[in-house]
Amino acid sequence: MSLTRAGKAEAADRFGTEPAAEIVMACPLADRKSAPAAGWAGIRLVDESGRPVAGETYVIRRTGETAPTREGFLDSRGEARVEDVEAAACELSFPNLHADSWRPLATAPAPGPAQTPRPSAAAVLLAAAEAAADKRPGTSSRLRGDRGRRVPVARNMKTVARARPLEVLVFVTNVVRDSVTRPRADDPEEDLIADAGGGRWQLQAECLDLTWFTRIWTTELLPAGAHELVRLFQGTDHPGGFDKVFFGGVLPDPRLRGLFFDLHRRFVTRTMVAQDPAPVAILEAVVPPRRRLWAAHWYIATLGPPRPYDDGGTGDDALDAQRSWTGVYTPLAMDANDDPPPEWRALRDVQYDYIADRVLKALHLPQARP
Amino acid sequence: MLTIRPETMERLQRARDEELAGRLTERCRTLLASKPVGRASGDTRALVAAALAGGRRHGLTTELEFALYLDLVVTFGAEFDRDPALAWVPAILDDTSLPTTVRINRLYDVAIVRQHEAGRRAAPRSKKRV
Repeated sequence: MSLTRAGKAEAADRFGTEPAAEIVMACPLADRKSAPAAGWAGIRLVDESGRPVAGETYVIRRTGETAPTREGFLDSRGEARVEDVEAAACELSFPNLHADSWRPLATAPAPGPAQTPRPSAAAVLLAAAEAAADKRPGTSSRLRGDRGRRVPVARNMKTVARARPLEVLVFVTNVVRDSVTRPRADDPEEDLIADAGGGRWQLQAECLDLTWFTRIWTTELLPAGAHELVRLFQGTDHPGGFDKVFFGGVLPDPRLRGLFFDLHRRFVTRTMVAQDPAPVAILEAVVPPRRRLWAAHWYIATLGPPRPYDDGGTGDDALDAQRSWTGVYTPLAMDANDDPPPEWRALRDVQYDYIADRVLKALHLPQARP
Repeated sequence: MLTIRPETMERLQRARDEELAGRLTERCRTLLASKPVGRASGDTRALVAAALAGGRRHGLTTELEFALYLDLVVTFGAEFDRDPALAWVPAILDDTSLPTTVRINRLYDVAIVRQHEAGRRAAPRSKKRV
């Protein structure tokens, strides 16, 4: 086989950049609890005809510094998203491209007879200083191009939905007792269900189709002003940020992980309450008054087709299908020995359409269905 | 108290390891099918195992780093990092002053160039034979 930049870019699409062996990851937002987030920068490189240039190595430096701040390569769409970059003044370069062979797209000089040879590639720097909620009116994020020109930035990177197993954003909304009997007492997954006084407890989740949510997020919520949404969830003062975020399931697309953290930053870190280690977030805003949500947590899970377990399954299709979930769990410090408040049970019938409708209504947006 | 015990973590860890190995195996198959002229044998499992072991030996940590390392294993062979004919490999791979992501990225870029040069050198010879 031959190695190519395209092959490298394709690997970037399929494989994540977090430690492969870790199932519990340090939340990248945890150390930002007191410091303001640096933001992120997006890079897109296209050729003369506008086609993406995949696999190209990029280097980002702080203006005036020689050592690279960040280095990486573009994916198959010719794009990269670089987290924790000070968007105010950075320089972008492509070490494998001659300096004259590319230019910042947004500040292209007018062609003239005395021009140097026309560059064969162009790059667009896309940046967002921070989540939309943080953006003050009248300010804009900027990066500096390779030649020190200022590049206006006004776009977010596209999030591309791709065919893959159904991925769901899961809110754990309830703790239910005696709702499920597990087939095997020695099943390690049994640990996820606390045994309290002979009864069994289970986390009950509401699911959002992540692909759908991504679309809604990018096409409707962001243009409508996500700050409106965030405003709904403000009112608590938890410093925010989980210590750990667990992606034990399959979430191969790094962009979706990025989306998770983006949502995490926008909502969860703003809405947690100190006495309850759970983000009340969206659900609290959409459940009826007085039905306060006591336990909710963000999860990402992959809901793949049922597959046999190495123990051959239980023989009961319904139970086996239930066990086919690839759950993603964060250690919860929740005292299940206490009787759950009745409000928890009241949430049992909350459906995600209902949640979505309430969110969209709150924003005066058109109703949507996945 | 809802707790996740070590046994649960082990099981989830195993599932994650298997999942990564499965995706690497899939990539390996694709690579071998695309142009099976590399030095590596066609045993995908062995190649993935070699890539995981070799990658860990060099301190690689992320999925992407292992995936890129696998490409190199498939191209140059399981022991390419110890191949005396590829002296440029350890020079990059063992440069601990650089983060592993940068190392593997540079190694990949250099490997592309080296492979290209080797192809150009080989091309006239094959033309002569014709």
